[in-house]
Amino acid sequence: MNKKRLFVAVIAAIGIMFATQSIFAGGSSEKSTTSKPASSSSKAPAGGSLTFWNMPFVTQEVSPSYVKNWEGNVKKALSNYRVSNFFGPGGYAQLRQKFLIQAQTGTPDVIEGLLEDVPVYAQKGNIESLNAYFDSWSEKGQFEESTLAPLTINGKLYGIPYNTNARGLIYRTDVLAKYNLSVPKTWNDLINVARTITKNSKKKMWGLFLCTKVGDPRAAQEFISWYYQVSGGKKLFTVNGSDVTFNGTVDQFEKILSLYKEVFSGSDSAIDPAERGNGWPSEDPGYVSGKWAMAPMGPWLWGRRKGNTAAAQILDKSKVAPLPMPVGSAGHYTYLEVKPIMMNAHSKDKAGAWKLIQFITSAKEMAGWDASSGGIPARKDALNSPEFQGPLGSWIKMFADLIPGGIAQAPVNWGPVADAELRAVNYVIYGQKSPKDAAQWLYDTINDIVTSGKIL
Amino acid sequence: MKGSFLRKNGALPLILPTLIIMAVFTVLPLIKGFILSFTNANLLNKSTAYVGLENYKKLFTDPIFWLAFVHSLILTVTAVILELVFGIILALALKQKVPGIKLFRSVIMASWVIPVAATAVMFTFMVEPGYGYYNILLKFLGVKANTFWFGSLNLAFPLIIILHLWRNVPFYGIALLAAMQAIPDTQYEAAEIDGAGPIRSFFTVTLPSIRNMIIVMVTIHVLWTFNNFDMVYLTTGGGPVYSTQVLPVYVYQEAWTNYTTGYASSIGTIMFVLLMFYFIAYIRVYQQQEG
Repeated sequence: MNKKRLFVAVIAAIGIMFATQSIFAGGSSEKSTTSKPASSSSKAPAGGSLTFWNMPFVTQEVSPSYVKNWEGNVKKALSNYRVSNFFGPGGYAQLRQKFLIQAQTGTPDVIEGLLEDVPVYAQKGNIESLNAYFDSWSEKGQFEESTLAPLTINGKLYGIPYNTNARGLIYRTDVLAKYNLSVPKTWNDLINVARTITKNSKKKMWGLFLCTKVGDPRAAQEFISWYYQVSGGKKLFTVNGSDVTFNGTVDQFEKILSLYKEVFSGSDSAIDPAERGNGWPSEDPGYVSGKWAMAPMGPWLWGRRKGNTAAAQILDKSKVAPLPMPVGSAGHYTYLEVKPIMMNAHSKDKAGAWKLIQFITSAKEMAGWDASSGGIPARKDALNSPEFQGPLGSWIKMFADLIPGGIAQAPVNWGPVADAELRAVNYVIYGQKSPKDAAQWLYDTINDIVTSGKIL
Repeated sequence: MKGSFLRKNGALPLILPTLIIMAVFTVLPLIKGFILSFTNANLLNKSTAYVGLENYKKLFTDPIFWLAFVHSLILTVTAVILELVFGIILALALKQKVPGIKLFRSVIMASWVIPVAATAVMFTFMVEPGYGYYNILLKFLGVKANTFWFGSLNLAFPLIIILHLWRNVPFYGIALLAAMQAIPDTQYEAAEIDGAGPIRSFFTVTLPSIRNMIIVMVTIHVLWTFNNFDMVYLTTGGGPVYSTQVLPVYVYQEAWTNYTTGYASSIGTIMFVLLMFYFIAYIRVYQQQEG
C-alpha cells in the first residue's frame, strides 16, 4: 500500500512539474502574449505567427503613432501571417539577456539590436547566417556596403542593417559666434573653447559634455571614438577566426585618459564637475536645454524637437563637425554605428522570418523608421526618399558626411572591455589614478580579458 | 482506505504542490548554481569544464569581491540598524492619538508601495545637478552643493542607505505599531503605578513586548538588504569607481557583462552560505533566549 501511495505521489509530482514547466519554461509566458496580439482574431492565418523584438518600438524612440502605422502596414504586407504586437522587453540589455536565454524556444523570430550584440549572438549560435537569403534578394544592391561589412563575421552575414550613423561634434553656432570662437579641430582646441564658454558664460552654460557613467553604452562609444583617433583608425582588436589580437597600447590609453582628466580640470572646467559619472540620459536633454554648448552626438537628437519649441530653436542654431583630433592624428576617425535586424536561428518559420526582415528593411519602412527616430538609412533608395528631403535631410547629411571616417567595432564581446574602459575613465576623473596609471591598469585588464577568453 | 490515508497523512497532499514548486523553482536552481560554481561555465561557450575550486580561489584573491563584500556588510548593518531605530520612532509617533493620524498611517506606506525601479528613477532625477529637487532645495537654503549625488564618491553610498531608509522605515513603523497596539494598557498602568516614566515604560514594557516583531523584521531585512540588487544597480551600477559596489551587483555584472556564469555562481554560493549561517545563528540565539 505504501508503495502504491508513493507511486501516486510521484506521478502527481511529475504531472505538476510538467504543468509548471509548460507554463514557465523559456519565458513562454511572454510567448503566449506575443502570439496573441490584442487586435488579432483567435484563428491564426495560414502562414502562422511571427514575433519581432526591438528596442525603439517599446521605449518610444519612435513615436507610438509610427508603431501603430507599422502594425497596419505589416498586416497588409504579410497578410498570411499574424505578426505580434508585443515587441519585447524594452532596453537593449534586457533584450540581450532574454534572447541569450530563450532564443532556443524560437521566440522571437526576428530581433533588432546593437552592432555589439551580433558577435555575442553569433557565438552563442542564436542567429542565422543570412547570406543565402540576402544573395537571392533582388534589392540587395540598395544596401551600402559599409553597413553590411560590420555585420559580417568570418564571411557570414548575420544581420540586415536598417540604420547607421557616425559620431560628430554638435556645437552651438550662436554661442561660438557670441564669444568669437572657432569650431575646435584638435583636442587642445576643444578644451580651450569649452573652458572659454564656461568662463565667459559665468558657468550658466558649460562648454562640453562627455558621458562617463560605467555601463552607459554612449560613454563606451565616445571612448572608442577617441581611441580610433589616437590609433589612426586602427581597431582595438583584430579578429582572425577564433584568434583575437589586442592592438591597444598604454600610450594610446594615456592620451585618451588625459583628455578626460583635462576636460574636468580647472576652475572653469570644460565640463561641469557635477556631471562626473553621468551618462546619455543627461547628455541629450542637457544639450537641447542649453546646459552645454558642445557634445559628441549622433542624428537621433532630431527627435528632441517634437513638441519642444526651445529644443527646436537650439537645434536650429546647431551644426555638426568631425570630432576634434589629437595633434598628429592622421584623419577624422569616429565610431560607426550600424543597427541590424537579425533572424533567430531557432525560429520555427525561417521563411516567414525572412519575409518579415524584408518588410522591415524595405525602402519604405526603413525610411519611415529612420525618419521617425533620426537615423541614417542603410539603403540608398531609402536615403533618397521624400522623408529625407528638407530640414531633416540637411540634418542627416551633416552626419552622413562623417560616415567615411566611421570605424565599425571588431566582432567581439564588448561588454567587459567597455566596462574596463569606463572604469579607467572614472579612476581618472575622480582623481583615484593618474592617466598613466589608469592607462596601465586598462591595458592590463583588457589583456586579462583577452587571455581569459571573456572576449570571444 | 482513502479516508484512512487522508487522516494519517492529511497534511502531505496539501503541502505537496508547494513543496514541488519550491523544489523546481528554488532548490533546483540552488543546486544548479552550486554545481556551476565548480565549472568554467560561460554563457557564450557551448562547452563547460569542471575546474574544482578554481573559482573560489580566484574569488578570495579578487579585490573587487572583497570590496563588494565589505560594502554589502556596511550597507546591511547600517541600513537595518537605522531602519529599526527610525521604525520604532515612527511607530511611537503613529501610536499617538492626534487629528489626522489615520490618514498619515495610510500615506506613510506610499514609499513602500512604489516599485523600486520607480523609486530609483525618481531619486536619480531628484539628485541631478541643475534641475534636481534636492539641489534646488539646497540652493534655496543657501547651500552650494549643486552636484550629481550618485556621481559623487562621498555621497553615493550614503544616498543608497538613505534610499533604503526611505523605502523601508514606514514598513518597520507599521509592523511595529501593530505589535505595540497588541500590548495591554494594563501593563503600562502597572508600570506607571510602580513609578516608571515614559522612557522607563518604553524599555521595560514596550521593547520586550515587541521583541518578536523586531526579530522578524530584522531577520527579513538583513536578508533583503544583503541580497538587494535593484536599488544599487538602477542608481549607480556599483560606481563611481566601485564606491557603491555590492555583491548582488557584482554577481550580475559577472554573469551579464562578462557572461562568466561559473564565477558568478561561486559569488552567489558564498552569499547564500553567509546568509544561511546568519539565519541559523540568529534562530539558535532566539531559541536559546526563548528556552
